Amino acid sequence: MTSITPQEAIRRRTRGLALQRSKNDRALPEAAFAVLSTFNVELLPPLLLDSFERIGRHVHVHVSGFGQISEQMLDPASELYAHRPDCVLLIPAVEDLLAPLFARPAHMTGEAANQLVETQTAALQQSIASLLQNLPEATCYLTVMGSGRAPAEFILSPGASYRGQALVERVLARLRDMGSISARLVIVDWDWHSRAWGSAQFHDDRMWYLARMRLNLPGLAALSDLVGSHYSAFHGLTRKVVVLDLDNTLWGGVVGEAGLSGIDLGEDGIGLAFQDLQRELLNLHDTGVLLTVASKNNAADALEVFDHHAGMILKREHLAAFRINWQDKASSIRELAQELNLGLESFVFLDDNPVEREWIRQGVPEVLVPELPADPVSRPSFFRALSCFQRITLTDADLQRAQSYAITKVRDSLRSSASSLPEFLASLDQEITIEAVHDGSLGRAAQMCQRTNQFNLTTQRYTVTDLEQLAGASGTDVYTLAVKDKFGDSGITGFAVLRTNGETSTIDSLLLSCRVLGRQIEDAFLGVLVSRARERGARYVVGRYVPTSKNQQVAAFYPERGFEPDTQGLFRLDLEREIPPTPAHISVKVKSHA
Amino acid sequence: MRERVKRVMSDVFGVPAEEIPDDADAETLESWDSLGHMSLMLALEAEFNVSIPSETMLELISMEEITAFLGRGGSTPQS
Repeated sequence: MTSITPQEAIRRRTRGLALQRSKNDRALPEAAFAVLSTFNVELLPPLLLDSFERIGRHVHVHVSGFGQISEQMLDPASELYAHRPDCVLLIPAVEDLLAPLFARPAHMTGEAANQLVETQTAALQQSIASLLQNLPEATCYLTVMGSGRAPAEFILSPGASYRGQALVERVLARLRDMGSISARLVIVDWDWHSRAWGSAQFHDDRMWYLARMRLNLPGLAALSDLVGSHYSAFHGLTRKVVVLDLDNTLWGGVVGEAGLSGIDLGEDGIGLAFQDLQRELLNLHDTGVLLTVASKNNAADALEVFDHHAGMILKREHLAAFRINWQDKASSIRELAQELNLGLESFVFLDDNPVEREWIRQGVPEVLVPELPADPVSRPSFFRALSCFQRITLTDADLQRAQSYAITKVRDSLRSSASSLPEFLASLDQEITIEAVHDGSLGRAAQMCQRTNQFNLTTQRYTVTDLEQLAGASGTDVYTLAVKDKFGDSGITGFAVLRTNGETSTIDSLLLSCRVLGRQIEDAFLGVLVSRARERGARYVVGRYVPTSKNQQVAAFYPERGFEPDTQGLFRLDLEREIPPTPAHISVKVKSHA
Repeated sequence: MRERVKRVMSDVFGVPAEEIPDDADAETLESWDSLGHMSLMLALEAEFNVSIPSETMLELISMEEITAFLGRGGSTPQS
């Protein structure tokens, strides 16, 4: 993120006002925000609209009068709850939480000061708990907002209790820790992010004294962006694949002309900037983002750099796929998408050449094309600030997925050596574990519901809360599926919901991650659902298919397995007649909770 | 200059520039409330590259006052 000038902030506000009047004419998905703060943020709504429009959301923003955070959250009859918001943005400024301390630090030392910190943070935490309870579907975004000054600035030692800095920092630390109380509480660390620009530029004394506004327009605009990137990350609206140019992007110079020893890449000078960009890319790779290459080059020259240049941080093994040839890059990117079985809207294209960037923006508009700075030394920090790969946290499953993509490549090479598909599949020693969803798997299950597009029969976007309710409903089975084979553990990569009512069991959801497709795992999974339906006394199993722009590949899933087309989008299997065969080469474990 | 001010007002208040009278003021223009006023002041600063002191902000509540202030190059008259 670059800093936002007052002119830019005014333009954003004007755009936001126009969006407010437009009534969502682009028909973007909508979200209702309620904002509660300890100071005046009446200027925030249009800026939030503008930031969210750029991530493809139309938001409605309701600002409750400032200074009533706890009252609004604790009272079930308050204005806040009357609006039924999807998201609640809390902005408690530490200066307001610790007002008596800032007013007169000398009167607030020792026990009284500690007491103030404890009371205020406990009250806030309690109101948030009540908010999450009163709005069981909503997400709460808690802004950590520092003060930019200590209560007594003229005392210099940061440890001096009279200065009050330690108390301010303790409150901020408490707010940061609150993230652990619920998966639906997202911490927006404005204090940390605003440091990079200097918090002074986000404050205007006139706005404070004339209107009780602690943030000026650039501040509110930057905060809106930050809330937007947390929203994107929370909802999994992030990208999964980087397509890299090589010459002058991964290294300095043109390898086809300068040769292996002539390119700029190493521990010194600008070569280090190229290396640092590679380090950032490797970090993404380690967390499951796929790295690919689309380069116009002689493949042998380019691959020699990956294999033999001492300065390379990225090696050939880190690339999930590459296209190094002389064809146009739009075609290369389409081929990469096909090879990886991922949608183009998962892709980000990095290229130093503005012409190539424009070509991709026009030719493959789904691909995100950041405006890579011309100066290589600016690129590592530019790249770190990109929000398209951000996520709220990193789970073990994410790390495992990164591992498993690498394994997929080995598995694929094995596939080409085995003489037939059945022989290949049998050689994998596949084992699947199907388990009723539980506290430890809810998060991953919801994540899959949000992210899986292709092998997804009904594309039900269940959240953690939805799943908790489903799992508790009578006649309902909510299952996750995990896959192991001789190369390793892919973790949870499948999900299904089966609802049984009388003699009919309906498969409400069925999805698999693309990493485990083409291995008949879907058949084994279906087999378990069918046996479960039988256990529950059903005679019919009904499968649903809800078409989307991305799930064409499963349109014929049920008919291909002996289900008879019923009414629109429904397929019926009579358990007294035929049962789809289950693949013999997969061993199945079912762990069902009582 | 008046036209430029009207354009800024039009953006800030969300009304067409043609509908803003030459003698517009905070009394007569509906969307010129206290919040609109703060936004207008910030937008004028950005558009005309001036800095408006807090007391002047409280005074610039009509087209006349605004154009006079900008006509002086954004300086406050010495009294």
